[in-house]
Formats: sequence, structure tokens, C-alpha cells
Amino acid sequence: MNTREYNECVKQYSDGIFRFIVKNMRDEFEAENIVQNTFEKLWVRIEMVEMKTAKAYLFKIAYNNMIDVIRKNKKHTDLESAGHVASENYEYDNLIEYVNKAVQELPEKQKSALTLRDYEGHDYRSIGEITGMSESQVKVNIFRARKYIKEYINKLEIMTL
Amino acid sequence: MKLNKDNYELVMFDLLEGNLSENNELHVMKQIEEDEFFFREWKLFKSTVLIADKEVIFTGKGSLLKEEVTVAPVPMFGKWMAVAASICILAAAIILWPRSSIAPEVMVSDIEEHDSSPIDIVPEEVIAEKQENGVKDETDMFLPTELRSIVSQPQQNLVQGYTPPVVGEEGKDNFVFIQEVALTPEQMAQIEKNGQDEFDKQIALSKSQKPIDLEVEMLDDKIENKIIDELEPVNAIVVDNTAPVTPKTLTRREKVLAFVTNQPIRRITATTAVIIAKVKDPKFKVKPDFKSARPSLNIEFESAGYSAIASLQPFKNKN
Repeated sequence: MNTREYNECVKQYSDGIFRFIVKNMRDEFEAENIVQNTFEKLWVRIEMVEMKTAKAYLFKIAYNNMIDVIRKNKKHTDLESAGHVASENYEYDNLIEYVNKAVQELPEKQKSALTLRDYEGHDYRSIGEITGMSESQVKVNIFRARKYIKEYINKLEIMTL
Repeated sequence: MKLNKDNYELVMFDLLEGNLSENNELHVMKQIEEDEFFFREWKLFKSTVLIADKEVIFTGKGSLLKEEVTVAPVPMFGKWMAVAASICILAAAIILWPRSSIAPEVMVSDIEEHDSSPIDIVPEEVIAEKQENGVKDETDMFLPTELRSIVSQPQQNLVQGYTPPVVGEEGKDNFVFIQEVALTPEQMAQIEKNGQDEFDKQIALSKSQKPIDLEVEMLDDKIENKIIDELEPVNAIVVDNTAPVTPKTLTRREKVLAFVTNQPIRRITATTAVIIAKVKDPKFKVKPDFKSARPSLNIEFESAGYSAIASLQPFKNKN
């Protein structure tokens, strides 16, 4: 990869990485730092990365960086606490906000797999390379994430009726 | 694929993910539309698809972008540059090459355009007048007419106007050696009695009978002795340049005349003029040899078709 291709990666993938991190961490400041670090690492290894694998490479670096930050800040949530949070937030007045709230309550692997799948259109194989999971694990995590969101939305609809 | 309470979530998930074939999709969609529960569940499943917020963008792209170094393509003119450099070097070598200070062309043209008119001979009246009036340069009167005319003219005129006598075989480009003689008092008296022309005739007769055809480099002791022997019929005495012969019976005036006649500078000048008149592409070399048992100074002169070597050995007679 040369400088021109690197700049093309910045223009093409920085927004997606930023949205992926923001969706998972809900912290734009941390997301910016992670994006910066991600592309700095790419620049250091620019001669070792090919353009066709640059997208997966960037998301993998961003994902690992995000996991490190989350573990450091202990901000990750688990599925068990999701019910309490959902039941306490009735102010969401549209479906998108419900879904976003549900996504925030997903485990990191489910959240990451789901966001990579829906936001960037990665296939199971690519998601597995980024997150370090197998394709079947990716599929299971995405399934569990959708099921949880569906149940989350269903609970809110029942409560608001 | 039949939907039921146990498998509808997995089937709907595959339908949402696009993992079903086209026929299965149509078949599943038909079942979903026909069942209200499944339809509601499908509606919730579709809600789980996350939609990216396009308004969320990364604003720090400018800090990540790197300056692209554009390398201007340099035309490959290597071969033509090498050719141009070679031409420049060749031209510089031709222009700056050191040239000989003597232009051979000038010498050739001078020789070709020299005046071949007869040599002016000093009339007898003038000689007599000079003798009576005590002429300063009396040497000319006692020289052969050939040498007299050479010595009496400036060097430039000598080169252009003097035609040396042909000595040696006809058609052979031999080097000319002019034999000079010192006159004895008897000879001078003979000249005064019979005139200069008669004396010159005798000299010319002696040369025509036995021409001297020598190269300068042959001037060793044996050759010199041979020349002296050959000149005896005209009663001429070959005198060594370094040791002029002065008989005991000579008066003071005769000694002076003999000495003046034997002036080496004039002879050298005249001889050199003759040589220069025929020289082309002259080269002059001086080779001193002071380390050998007999120190010498060899002077080599080369031109087109000619070569002369003069060896000076000042101490050769001591041993």
C-alpha cells in the first residue's frame, strides 16, 4: 500500500470505523482516539498491508483497541442488566431509539458482530477475522443479538400498550 | 420449510440474513403472511436491523491524511546525454590541443616561393674599392661567392633567396653540407693576383669532381679527415672549428684575416640558413650525457626526410 491508497482508506473507512466504535461505546471522544490510533498503526505498517485487505485490517485494529479501552474503563454491560435499564427508560418514543438502547445492552461480541454486519455489511467470515471468532460463532452471536433486541422491543411495546 | 413455534426464530433469522434460497424465502414469506403471530414476530425481527446514522462522521480525517509525494517522471535521456558529452569532450580536445609554434605550412610556402634568381656577386670594382678604402668587413672578399652572398644578406633573405648547390646524386634528396676553408696567405695572395672569380672557379671545380655528400650525424673524426684529404687538390686546408690553423709565418694582419674568415658564428649562420631552407616539420632535441667516460652533448635535429646529429665532446682530445 502506498500513501495514495492509505489516504483513500482514510476517506473510505474512517467514518464507518468511527460509527462502529461510537455504536459500541457510545463515546465519541474515545471513538475518535481509537480511529486515530487505528490509522496510525496502519501508517506504520503501510508496506505490509494490501489495499484489498485494508478494510478488515482497520476494523480489526479498531475492534481490539475498543475492547482494550472498554476493559480499561469497565464500561461494558452484560445482558442481565439490560432488563432493568429497559424497564426504566420509557422516554424512548420511537423504534430506532429502542433498538439503539437494546444494542447498548448487548455483550461486546454480539454488539460488535451485529454492528459490523449491519453497518458495514461484513460477511460472517470477515467479522470472524475482525473479532477473532469463527463463522459459526459470528452467526450465533448475531442471532442472539437480534433475538435480544427483538425481545427488548417486544417488552417495551407490551409495557407501553 | 415449515414454520412452527420452535424454529420460527431461526428461520426468520436466516430469512433476514439472506441465508435462504429464493424458493425457501418465498415459501417462508407466504407462511409469515398467513399467520398473524409469525407476521408480528417477523416485524420485530426486521426492527433488529441496525441502520447506520450517516450524520455520524469522523471529523478528524484531515489529521490522518498524509501528503502524497508526487515524483515527477524524469525522461530517460541517458543515451543522448552520453552522446552529447562525448561530442563536447572531443570538441574540447580538438580546440585545446597544444599546437607547434612553428607552422610547417609556412615553411613549405616560403620554400616554394623562394627567389631562385641568380646570386648577386660583388663586382670586382667594389672589392677593389673596399680594399683601397679599408672596408670594415673584409671577410666577404675572401669567402667563396656562395657563402659570401649568404653571409652578406640578412637571414630571412638567405632563406628565401639562396639556392644551395646540388651536391650528391641527382634526384636524391640529400642533406647539404657546406665545406668551408680557411685561406692561407698564399691563397690570399693568389686571390689578389688572379681575382676572386678565378679562386671561386677552383673551389667549384674541386666540389664538382668530388662532391661531399654527408649527413651531419656522420661528422666524426674519420669523416672529417676524409674531407680534408679530398680538399687537398685545391690547396685548401680544413680547419677544425675549435683550433684554427695559424702558420708561424703569418703577419698580424693575415692572422686577423684568418681568424675573421674562420668566424664560427657566420659559418653556423650560413649553414643553418641552408638547412632551414629545406626543412619541413623540424624537431630539435638536446641530449646531454655527462655521466659517461666521455661526456658529450648530442644535439639532434630531425625534419621530414632529414636527420642530423651534432655531438659535442669537449674533452675527447685530452685522453
